[in-house]
Amino acid sequence: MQAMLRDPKVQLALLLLPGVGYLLVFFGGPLVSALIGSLRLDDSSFTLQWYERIFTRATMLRGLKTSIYYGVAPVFVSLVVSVPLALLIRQSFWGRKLFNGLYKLPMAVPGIIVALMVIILAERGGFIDRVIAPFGLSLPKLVRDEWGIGVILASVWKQIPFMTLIITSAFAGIPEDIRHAARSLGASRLSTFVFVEVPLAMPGITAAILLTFIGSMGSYAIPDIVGPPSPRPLSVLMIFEFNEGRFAQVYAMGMVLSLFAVAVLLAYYALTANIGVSRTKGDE
Amino acid sequence: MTARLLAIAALALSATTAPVHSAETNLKNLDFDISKVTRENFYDIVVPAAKAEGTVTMYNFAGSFGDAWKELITRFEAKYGIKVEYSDVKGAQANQQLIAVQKAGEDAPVDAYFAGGGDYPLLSSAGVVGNVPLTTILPNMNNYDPALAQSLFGKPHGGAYPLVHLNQTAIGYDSAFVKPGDLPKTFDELLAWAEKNPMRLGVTLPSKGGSGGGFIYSVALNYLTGECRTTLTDYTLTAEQATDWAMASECLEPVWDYYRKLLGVAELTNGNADTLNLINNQQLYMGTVWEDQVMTFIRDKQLPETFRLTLLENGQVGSGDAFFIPANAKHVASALLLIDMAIGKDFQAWKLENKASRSPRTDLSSDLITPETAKYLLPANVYPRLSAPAFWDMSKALGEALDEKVLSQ
Repeated sequence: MQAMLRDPKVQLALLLLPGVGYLLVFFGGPLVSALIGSLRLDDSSFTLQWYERIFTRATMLRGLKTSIYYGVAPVFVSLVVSVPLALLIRQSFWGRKLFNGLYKLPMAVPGIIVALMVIILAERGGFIDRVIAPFGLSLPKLVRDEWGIGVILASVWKQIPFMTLIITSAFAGIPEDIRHAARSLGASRLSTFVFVEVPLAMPGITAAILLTFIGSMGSYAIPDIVGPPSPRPLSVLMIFEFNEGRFAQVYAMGMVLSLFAVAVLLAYYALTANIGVSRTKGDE
Repeated sequence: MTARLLAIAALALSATTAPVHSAETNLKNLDFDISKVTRENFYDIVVPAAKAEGTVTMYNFAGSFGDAWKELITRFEAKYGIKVEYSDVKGAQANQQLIAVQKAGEDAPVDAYFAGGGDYPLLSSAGVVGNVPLTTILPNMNNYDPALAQSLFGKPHGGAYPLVHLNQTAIGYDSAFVKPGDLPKTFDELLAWAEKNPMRLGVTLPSKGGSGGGFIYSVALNYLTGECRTTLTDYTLTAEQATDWAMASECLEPVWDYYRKLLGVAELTNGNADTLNLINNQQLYMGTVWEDQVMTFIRDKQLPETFRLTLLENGQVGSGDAFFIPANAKHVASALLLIDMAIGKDFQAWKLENKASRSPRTDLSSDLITPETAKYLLPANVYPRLSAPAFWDMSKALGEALDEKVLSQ
């Protein structure tokens, strides 16, 4: 027994067991179970009908597109805000410590609270509308609007601190010497930022993009409460199907959403791998 | 001769004491012989058994009914000294929980469940509903509406799934903006009003609120005739059959046409409360609503005092919610007592006045309502005359087909 434990392969397996075992039991197990469930009828016979429904029913197809839209759009908006915010946080200014603590608050607010906040504040005839009405002003339609602007803004409000936190860490990880070297070689502040700092921070930025995308695409409360009644994203349609007791359909929709998340993850790995290669080439 | 007389007397005696409904029960945890319980001996048998149990767990699926059940529980605990463990639940999830528990053969986590009237087909097909002829053995159900006593929306339940609350979908409007002369009386007039007042009518998305589900079925009832209407009202259809028909049938073209026109000039909302909220914000002047939910909103000052209700000609869907005992309930006797009190005249009258909750009792009428409450209820010239029975599986099917045929095109 002791001899076996001294075997490096056994030691490696034992060391990996907690992490890999956890993943197998709590991620792989449910995933395989959902996959099997999505391919079965009530009498346990094989079927692809639940996937066929997703790709042939107009409601489902629009749901899939809407899920991707609600995943991608907040990422772009959050990125535009988070990168400058991350740079600002690096600077020294009055009240920085307070700001540094306050900007993270939305992360602690659950999605459903954010959705209800939007309903109370930004609904037509809501709080903000009543405040600005005496000045002859009114808010544009942000709740149940066709383009889901309210959903995107609510998601952005919730995701910006998270994205900023990761991007700030990514920029903080770049040695000051590199920036100084670029500046001393004649690069402007902007060039240094665009051609030196951003590429070096790219692994952190892409990680933030990936996590924000997955979080936004799978969110339920915000699109359900703030979004238009139609189209509804797959996450909202999944709850509807669950309530109807159509579990096989829920599994199939979950598998499709997971597939997209995995595809994005693979794209992330491909992108970050290329960044690594160019950095290595640059080092050479 | 004497023997014959004795036999007849014994037969007559057994006929008066034996339960009217003698089908075998599927209740798993019984400490007393429920087949011997009748309306006459109910309290003699059930009260001691319930006191021995000492506690009863109740689920409530209707968020707006919390205060009503609090009132019932206070009365129940004071009268019987039996503790009520109360939980608000999300109906769909609680249903799935009970179905899973039933499949596993485990004890149910609830003894008396206030569930949606439309949930009966799902729950009964999964064997969740305890086969107890409540409408036959509960003393307080002796004045129960015979039309609802044995079946619900066309599905026989043998008295095991009795409605204890009736509700009505309706058209709600703010009378400050809608004058009596402009009030639509038919579905065509409603469309004309919406065209004249763009984006001032709110229509709840059927899959997100019962007032929308009721409305789409009411529209179909209004426009379908002949064989199409026969299928529309065929309660023997399963949910799957109803969905297949709604997705494929050309019968429903008038309904889709109506919705295409209506949604071009009306606001589609995310739920019953969403519609009412927009009316309260004065963004909408009229919308699809539930009568009892309106009363809750009025009492909470979430709707203006000028809010009023009406029904459209040819009828709008009326429904209700039921109390039942799950087959695997642990405290059956206490659950029986609780349901008996819930359908009692005192509590039903309180519920009518405070919650605009109509009663399936035949001895309770709108006359008992105070004038202050009555003005927020449906007027006597439209209710119950224009109340049409619900068929929720068909309503859901129409809602799904609406998504596919109109909203996603």
